[in-house]
Amino acid sequence: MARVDLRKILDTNKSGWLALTRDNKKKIASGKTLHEVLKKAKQKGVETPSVLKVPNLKTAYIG
Amino acid sequence: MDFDYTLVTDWPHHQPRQRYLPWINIGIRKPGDFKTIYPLGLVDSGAELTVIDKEIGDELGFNFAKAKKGEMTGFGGAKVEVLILEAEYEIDDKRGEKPIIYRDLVAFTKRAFPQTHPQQTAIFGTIGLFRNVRVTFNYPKNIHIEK
Repeated sequence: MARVDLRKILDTNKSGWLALTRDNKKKIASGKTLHEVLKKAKQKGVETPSVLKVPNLKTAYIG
Repeated sequence: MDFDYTLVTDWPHHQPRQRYLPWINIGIRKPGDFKTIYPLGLVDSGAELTVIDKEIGDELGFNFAKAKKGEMTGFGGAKVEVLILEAEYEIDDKRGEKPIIYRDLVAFTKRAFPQTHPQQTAIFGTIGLFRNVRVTFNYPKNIHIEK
């Protein structure tokens, strides 16, 4: 299975929510709210996408 | 179940750097309900409790009037108010195995995650993940999860 690579998607989407295919390889929709991206994904025939709120990747995470 | 690490570019000191992060999809829903959302969240053995953005709880129709209120610290020192409820979790790597399904508590944030936090969707911690399944980090190959 190919590695999940979100570099291009996150480079071109700087804020809001994203709906991705369940393998996280392709963007299906973007929008300001989760509800909006789920609705757009459904209109494109994807009922259960992967969802992600675009993160701030300017800092490293220490849990 | 095996999940790939997620490759991203981050920008420490305004310089690009490639990083593999343990971000995976875990399904979440109201107990016994059908509607499931699959946030791409951080698997974090250092987090005591699974925390998920409130919009996901709203979209799933959780009844927050029944939630236990709490406050969590972390998030780079920030305090976050949360609403704690029972949820049903579904782990499925889509490779043909039967999904792992269990119920446990989840904390939905009352507001968005702090802006400075590099994960804005979900953090899967001990309660909600690690106390239910065995998780092995095989960096950077995969994250293995078994019941």
